[in-house]
Formats: sequence, structure tokens, C-alpha cells
Amino acid sequence: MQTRITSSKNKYFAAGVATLIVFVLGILLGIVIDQKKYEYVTGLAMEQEVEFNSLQVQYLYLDNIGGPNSCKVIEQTLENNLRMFQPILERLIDYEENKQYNNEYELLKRKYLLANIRYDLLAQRSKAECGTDLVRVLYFYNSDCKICGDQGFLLSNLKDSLEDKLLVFPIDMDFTKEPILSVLSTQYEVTEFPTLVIEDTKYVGFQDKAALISKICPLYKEKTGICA
Amino acid sequence: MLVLKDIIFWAMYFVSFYMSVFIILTLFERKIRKNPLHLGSLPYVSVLVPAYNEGESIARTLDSLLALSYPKDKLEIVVINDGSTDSTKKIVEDRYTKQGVVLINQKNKGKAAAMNNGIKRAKGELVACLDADSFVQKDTMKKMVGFFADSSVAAVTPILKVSNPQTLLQKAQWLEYVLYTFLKMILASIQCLNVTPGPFSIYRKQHVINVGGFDEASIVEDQEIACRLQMHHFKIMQSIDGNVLTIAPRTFKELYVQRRRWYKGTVINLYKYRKMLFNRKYGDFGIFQMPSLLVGIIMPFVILPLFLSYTITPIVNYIRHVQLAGFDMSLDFDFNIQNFTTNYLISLDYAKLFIIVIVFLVSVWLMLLAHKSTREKLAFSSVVPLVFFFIIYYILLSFIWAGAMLEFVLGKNKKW
Repeated sequence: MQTRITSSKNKYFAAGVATLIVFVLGILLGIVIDQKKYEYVTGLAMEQEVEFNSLQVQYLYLDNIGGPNSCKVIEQTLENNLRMFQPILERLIDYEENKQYNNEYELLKRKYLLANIRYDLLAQRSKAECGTDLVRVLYFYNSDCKICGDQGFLLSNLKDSLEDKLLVFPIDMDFTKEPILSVLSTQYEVTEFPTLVIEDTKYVGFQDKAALISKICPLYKEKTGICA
Repeated sequence: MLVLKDIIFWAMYFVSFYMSVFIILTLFERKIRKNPLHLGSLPYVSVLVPAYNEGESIARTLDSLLALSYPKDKLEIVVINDGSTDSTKKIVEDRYTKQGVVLINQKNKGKAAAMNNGIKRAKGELVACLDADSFVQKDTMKKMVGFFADSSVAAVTPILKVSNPQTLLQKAQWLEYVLYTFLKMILASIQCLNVTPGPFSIYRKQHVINVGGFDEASIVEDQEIACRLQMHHFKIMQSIDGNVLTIAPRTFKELYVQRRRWYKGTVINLYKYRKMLFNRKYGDFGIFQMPSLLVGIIMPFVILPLFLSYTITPIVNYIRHVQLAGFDMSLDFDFNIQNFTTNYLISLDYAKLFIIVIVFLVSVWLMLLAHKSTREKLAFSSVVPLVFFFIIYYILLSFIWAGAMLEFVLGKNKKW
């Protein structure tokens, strides 16, 4: 029989310390990069806000001044800004998927939501006053709704085809901190998810691709993309 | 759910990384004994070859034994025919008994019983076991017996290598064996070996008899005897240059059959020797190796759900989305690469990524050291098997673990 050689407690301890150091480094790195990501996304939101303010001032200016070319300019401005708006929207959604909720993030999301609604209002005016050929979809969802992921995907899929002629405004109904949401849900009597409001007509429940096409396409004057 | 997934992720990587660091510290702390102690004279060795229906490979196995560069007057080769119904018996009788090979016939009782039967008749103070699907190199035995100069050494295990790997799966196993041998070299220095593999482990006969011989009820007698020797505080050493070639499973099905026996055996052994778990009386074997085996059992059940949630779920969702979109997904490829990259970079979890990269780099470093220690070269052609090994192989093993444990729990024992 032999006497066992046992590694010293020091080695078990040293292995623990080394492991902890690596993990703490990893977590710190994560925190630093998360901060940078937040700053970046905040920058994007500010950029979006300035763009929106600029658009609003241009709109008001043209509205007050009037003139034969005002609608053309409004449409052009809206189109340019929507192009800028879409990537920001995607980035915010990506950021949202991987971010734990905190106060800063909630403020950011609120800002985004308000900007979204103001865009919708602007689009409505552009359509009413200039007859802009676009379709607006308000998309109400919450996290309990399992099929909402599919609905969101289908709307994105249609948007890929119809591009700037289809404006989709996703509205997260879990976000109770923003009062405008209750205004919207009361106005459209939203109680179930998903609910779609396509140009002021409400549709409750999941809409498959054919259903979406049949509801959206007839609303265009000029048929393009998947509606052609 | 997300929080639970995160906790599991961090715990899994913490434990894996801790074990890797411990092994690396051991590597630098203790010098692996490269040259065994010098014996005054070579000991008498009886090589036992338990064989059940090994007609296809027994001749090559015995040829490799007869070609051993070991004094013939100190070498005995004993084939224990375990009730074979094929040509095994005839091949040995016709071609090998006249060359001095001893043939013992018994009713089919299993490998452990065959080994015990062989030990009873063996003349050598050392007994080697060679599975009939494995082949030794000429100088292997000479390189291994030196370890027995230390009287507390009860067993020495060889370097196992995959013979002539052809399929990608065999090449991955080849890499696995190289890495495993290297880890065993390190673990042997703190007496943490928990298996004496069937292919050419050499035992001190008296020590094996003293601990009660091979367990005939065990399905993994090579793991069981190793644990028992450890429990009796005997040493098990890892040879660093005695090579044995073994035929590795070619297909996933064959691998499944082999591994489910090993894995089930590991669980049974761990339960049987549970009193050694976290028991300081058994040194590092109790404090490190037994808990490592426990982690090894739990890990696949952590890896598998994580793997499914990170890879399979998005793929299934994508397929469902393609169907939802009426297979009209072509426009999805018309994306802005800059936006995509930015979105992707934003969505990454850098803390997790950092840990994954560190664990991966440590694994690669250990693999390089393993190749150096076992005198193997990493060729350019190894790149594909390496990628397969690091990314897919362990997922496959996790599936086998899950399947094996499911069968175990459901009581489907007959096929073991």
C-alpha cells in the first residue's frame, strides 16, 4: 500500500482564483462594451430625434408657406427620412433583444416609441394632404403572444417587398410606462394580440401572408412589389 | 428562462474552466515521468487475450503479440476463448498453439470472467490484457514494464491510438485519444486515472488478485478495476511512449453502441464508489477526479439544451418563417451589409463571447501540447477533423449520453 500524494490546497485555491479572474475580466469587458453599445444606441436615437425635428420643421414651414411644389417636397423629405429611420429601428430591436431592462433603456425605448407614433402622424398628414401612395400598419403585440413573432416576421417580409410604400409601426403593449399606448389601445379597442390596424381598419388575430396581401394591396393606387 | 439559461451557461463554463486550469497547474507543477524507473531484469509477463467471436481480427492481434520485442522466455500469450461461435478457436488452434500460444476455452461468461480465468492460469507476475480488436507495437511492452519498479504500481496503461482512421468520425476519435492520453499523463502524476483500457493495460497480478480480481458483473470491467485499485490506494500509471492501436467505430451507430456501454458503466461505477466522491482520504482521485466524472455526466445534459436553444431553435424558426412567407425569402438577401454587421455586433453578448474564446483557446493549446507529448504532428489535413472535433463531436457525444441515459432510466439494459 502506498501513501497518497494529494495536491496542495493551494493548487485548488489557485485554480479557483485564476478562473475567477478570467470570469471577472469577461464580465467587466461585457459591462464596458454594453456601456459603449448603450452610448451608440442613444446616439442613434438622438440622431433620429434631430432628423424628426428637422422633418417636422420642414413640414410646418411648407405647410405655412404652401405653394405648388410643397407636396412633392414633403413626400421627398418623408421618403429620405424613412430610409434613415428603418435601420435605426432594426438596430434598436436588436439591442432590445439582448438587453436586460433598466431605467436608461426604458427611457430610450420611450423615446423610440414616441418618435414612432409621431412618424405615423406625419405619414397620415402626408397621405391626407398630398395623397402619398403609402399604407400604414399599426402592429400591436406583447410578450405573452407566441404567434406575434411570426406576425412580425410576415410584416417585415412584406416590407422587404413593398419597401417605403408600407409603413409598419410596431407597438409593444408590455411597455406600460408610456401613456400614449393606453390612448392608442383605447382608440382601437385593442384587447387581443396580435392586432393590426391597417389604415384605420382593425384586424384581430394572426393574419397570414395571403390575408395581409388581400388587405394591404387594394389600398395602393400604384401596384408594385408583391402587389403588382 | 433567459436568466436560467444564463446561469446554466456561466456555471458550465466556470466548472469546465476551473478543471482545465487545475490540469494546467498540475502539468506545470509536477513533472510527467517520461522514463519509467529501471528494472533490474525484465519481469515475466502473461498477455491475456479474451476473445468472443473475434475470427476476423484475432490473427492480426496475435501476430502483433508474437512480434513483440520482449524475451520469449519471459512472455506468455494466453487466448481465452469465451465461447466463440465463429472461427476464433480454429484459427488459434491451427495457427498459433504450435507457436506457443496457450488456448483456454470457456463457456460464454463475458470478458471479466475470461480475464479472471486467464489470471488463474497465468505464470507471469505481470498480466497484460489485450482486446482482440487491438494491436501492439513491437517495443510497447518493454516501454511499459519499467513503471513496475515501484512496488505500489498496480497497473500501467498504454498510449491508445486509433488504427488507420478513415472516416471523419474516426479522425475525430483519433484527436480525442491524443488529447485524452495527454490528460491521462497529467492525471497519472496525481494518481487520478479511473480507467485501465482493455487494449493492453498491464497489471501486477498479485495486486489484482488482492483486490478481488475483475468484477464479472460489471459491463465496464476496465473502469471498475481501476476504481477498485484506486480505492485500495494502488498506483495506476500512464505510459508516455508505449503505443497500442485500436479500431475505432467507423459510424455514428457503432460509436453509439460503444459509448453507451462506457457511459452507463461510468454512472454505475460512480455510484458504486460514491464514498470516494469528495473524500480527502482518496487524495486528488476523491477530490478532483470523481467530481470530474460527475461533471462529465451532468455536462451533456447542459450542453444539449443549450445547443438546441442556440442553434436548432433559430433554424426551425427560420424554416417555419420560410413556409409562412410562402417560400418567398429571396428579398431577405437584399440587405445592407453595413447595417447587418452593425446590428450583429450590437446584438452580441461580449462577456459570454470572451469566456467562450478563452475556453476555446485553452482547449486548442491543450490539443497542441497533447500532440507534442504523444509525438504526433498536426498536418494541414487535420484542420477539418479539428473543426469537427471542437464544434460537432462533443455535441454528438452529448446526444449519445442523453440516449444512453434515457435507455438506462427506461430500463432497456439488454443490449449493453
